Amino acid sequence: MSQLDKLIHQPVRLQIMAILVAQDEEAQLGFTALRDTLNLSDGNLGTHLRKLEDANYVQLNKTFIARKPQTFIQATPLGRQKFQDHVAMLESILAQAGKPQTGDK
Amino acid sequence: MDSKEAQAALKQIEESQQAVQLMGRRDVGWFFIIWGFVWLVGFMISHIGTPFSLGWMWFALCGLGGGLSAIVGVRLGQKVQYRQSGPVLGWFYPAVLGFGLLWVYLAEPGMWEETAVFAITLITFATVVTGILLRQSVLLWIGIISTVAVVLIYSLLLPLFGLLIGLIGGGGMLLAGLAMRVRG
Repeated sequence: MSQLDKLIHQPVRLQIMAILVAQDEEAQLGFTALRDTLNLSDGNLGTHLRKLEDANYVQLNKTFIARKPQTFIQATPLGRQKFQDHVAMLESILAQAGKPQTGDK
Repeated sequence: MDSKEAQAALKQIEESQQAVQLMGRRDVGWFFIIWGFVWLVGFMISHIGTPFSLGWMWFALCGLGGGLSAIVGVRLGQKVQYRQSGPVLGWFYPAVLGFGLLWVYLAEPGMWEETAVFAITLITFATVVTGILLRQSVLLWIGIISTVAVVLIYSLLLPLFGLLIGLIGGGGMLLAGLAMRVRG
């Protein structure tokens, strides 16, 4: 069995990835929407996003809307794959736990 | 990792995804409230009759609806952006509106119900296309079911067209929008 992805498994990053992966592949979520959904501070969210961006799990796009800078985030194909692998791993742990032990009657 | 931790992590994933879906439904609820109000008021007045021009009344109501929708749309654009479909839809809606006005001008419908059924099916057509482009099956089905309902009412219950579209269409949209805002 392969190892759990520690980068994704951290609770806040797990939630970030869960939210981003739930979006359509071409959709990107605004920084403030993500921050408000997760109830995080700007700095806290920024720190976690930087780690995910460094691993190429998410992509940050900066743009201007009504002359105000806005950051949009989307999961990369690698990030989506890693997240799916991670979920599969969690499910397999649950499935293993649900299996009757050898010798059980 | 034991199974309890795995279960907790999966629950966290599910809750996060539900939270963002809830946010999306609450935001979309504004459009239902705005256009439900426009339809309810507009079609009820059209059915009851009015001393002033129906055309100007609809122009004012649609202007109000369009203006409020633009404000909500800009706010939504700061939350979620569609990199490919967004710009396409940005051109599609003005094109639909422009051709719709042109076709009404060319077809010269006699009764207000003819103009109304054309305008409504143009909107439901745009809803279907939006559902296809954004891969949102909810929008696709709303567009299809609304089209069928409107065409049936127009074909079978023409004398009650304004009343039924106002109450069922407008009232239904308004209630659905309120429910989306309150319950998500």
